[in-house]
Amino acid sequence: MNIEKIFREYNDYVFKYIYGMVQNRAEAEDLLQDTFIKVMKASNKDIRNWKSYLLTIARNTVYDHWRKRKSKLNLDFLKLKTKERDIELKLDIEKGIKNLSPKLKEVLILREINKMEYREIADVLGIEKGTVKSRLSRAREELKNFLEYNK
Amino acid sequence: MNCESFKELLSAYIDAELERTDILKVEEHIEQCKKCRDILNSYQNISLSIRSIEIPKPSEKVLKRLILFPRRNIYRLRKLAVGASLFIIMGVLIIPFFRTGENVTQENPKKYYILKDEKNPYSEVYYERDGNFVLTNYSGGSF
Repeated sequence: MNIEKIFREYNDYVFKYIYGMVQNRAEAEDLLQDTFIKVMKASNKDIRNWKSYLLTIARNTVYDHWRKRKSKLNLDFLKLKTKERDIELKLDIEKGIKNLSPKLKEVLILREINKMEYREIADVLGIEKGTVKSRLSRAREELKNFLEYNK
Repeated sequence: MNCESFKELLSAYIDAELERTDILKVEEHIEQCKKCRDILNSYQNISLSIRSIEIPKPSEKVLKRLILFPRRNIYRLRKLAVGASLFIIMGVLIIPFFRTGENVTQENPKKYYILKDEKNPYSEVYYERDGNFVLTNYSGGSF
């Protein structure tokens, strides 16, 4: 399949996931670019499900990005980033999502934003369907508590 | 039934990911348990508010860069391949063949090969005929 067509078709879908994870537009755009460059460099043969393939690569890109930033440990940089990011989070629910651990956050994003079924989420994350179910339940419970606490 | 252990079912219930027997179990339970009804209600509200979050679209600039990027790369590669094959054709094949000047005319518009020589200010143009490369009398200018 033509890679340009893939970009056009799925950039929005992949961007939703990335944005949900980092909740900052500029950061998400950089990561979207990194994701597609990785896809281009890969051989991409025998890809049956482009959606989940792209999401898997996007996910690795997001995690790599977090790892790198953590290892830098530049406190000023981190402070600035958090400040910038908070400006974008208008709703309580967005703040609540930001406070979730990456594991819980991603099942929630994949379910609610990317509208994936449990089976698909399990495939992308490489976990059991039952784990998706329990993580989603925990994510919702934590959000519920966060929202009640911040009322 | 313990309501704590029910939360997972409630969460899967709103995702429509339950088997029929579990659906009935949930519906029966929330009928009589206010606590679980409230939980279900908040889960549903949470779901709705997440779905209503406005997610920006990637900017046009980024998309253009992404969509043009592969094409640019492919183009570069093609240019390289064409350049390399021309070089090989010119360097290896042409030199042993005879060189007779021939007119480039309307009657023999063929595939032309251009040999560029650093020392020679003129390019020599060849075309292929019966497996041989024939030198034309063309020298310089646009082709």
